[in-house]
Amino acid sequence: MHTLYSLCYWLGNTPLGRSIHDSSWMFPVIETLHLFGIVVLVGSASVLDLRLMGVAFKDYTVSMLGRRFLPWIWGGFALMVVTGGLLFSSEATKMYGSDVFRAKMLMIAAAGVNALVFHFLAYRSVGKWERDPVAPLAARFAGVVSILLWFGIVGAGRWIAYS
Amino acid sequence: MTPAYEFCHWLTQTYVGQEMQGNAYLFPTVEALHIMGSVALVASTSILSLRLSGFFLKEIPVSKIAGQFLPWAWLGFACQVITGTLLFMSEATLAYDNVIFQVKMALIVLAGINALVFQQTAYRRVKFWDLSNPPFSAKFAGYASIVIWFAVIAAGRWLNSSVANSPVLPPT
Repeated sequence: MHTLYSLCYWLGNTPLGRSIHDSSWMFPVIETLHLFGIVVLVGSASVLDLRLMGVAFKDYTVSMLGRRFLPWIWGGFALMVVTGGLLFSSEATKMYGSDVFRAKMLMIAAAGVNALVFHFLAYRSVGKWERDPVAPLAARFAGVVSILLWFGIVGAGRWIAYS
Repeated sequence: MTPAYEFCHWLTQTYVGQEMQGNAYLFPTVEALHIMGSVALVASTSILSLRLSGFFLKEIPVSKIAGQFLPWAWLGFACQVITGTLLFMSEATLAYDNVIFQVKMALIVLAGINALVFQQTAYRRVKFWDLSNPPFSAKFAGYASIVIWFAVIAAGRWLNSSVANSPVLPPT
């Protein structure tokens, strides 16, 4: 059998995966915390994205917003990884075969790559343009891609339940 | 049969109510939009609330934060009212006497009252504390707002299982 499938099978049969799967209240409670994490992560990321896009918060510098909101982004992301990992462990073999789940993971990876590319390209020269109400094209592009991906990830997350 | 139940029953029988129940793609799509709206609404109000609590974005005037983030909160609220109504129309008869649904609606009203009281009291004198430590009543309104809105999200998640699991009872 495929290694990845074996890993999912093993994860689903760990005491943790089994308890979440068998409990009537653990899954909804973890899912609720996962929803809280969405607000923190996607809300904070959207503030930066909207600023990069030049849509809102134009009188704050990009680096100031980054300094204030990145800790919330990382905090929200950590909560998503923990709660998402727990949800996954309870239905790992089911997720293994879900196209929507794969699409969601790909979009998260793409959001990470997008953030990394932004960090190492446009953000390097942030001192030169961060006071401009409209950021350079590369930064605006990163903002649009990021906000679309994150809301796409939220949508995909809801669709996993129906897939 | 109470008039409220009859109204809810009528809602489920409207074209929109029927489409929401019959179209397999519509309900999850509207639900996804309802979650996206919660990001705009709850993140925006929470940013203002954290500013009021006095430990986030302290160097920016409260009135400026309110002016810049509240339009997004209202946009999110409009999205929530529209998508929430559509979701309600698909299962109105199940939701109307559901305790969790009633708790969720009561919490939303409470959030509104909290915001209104803040706006009519502490916020009226905002120019005196715009850049200094907010008064206790403003901090309280901020903390209350965060707790209430996250509780609304939790109630919404809980509602999802309670409505889905409740038996379809004949009208009494």
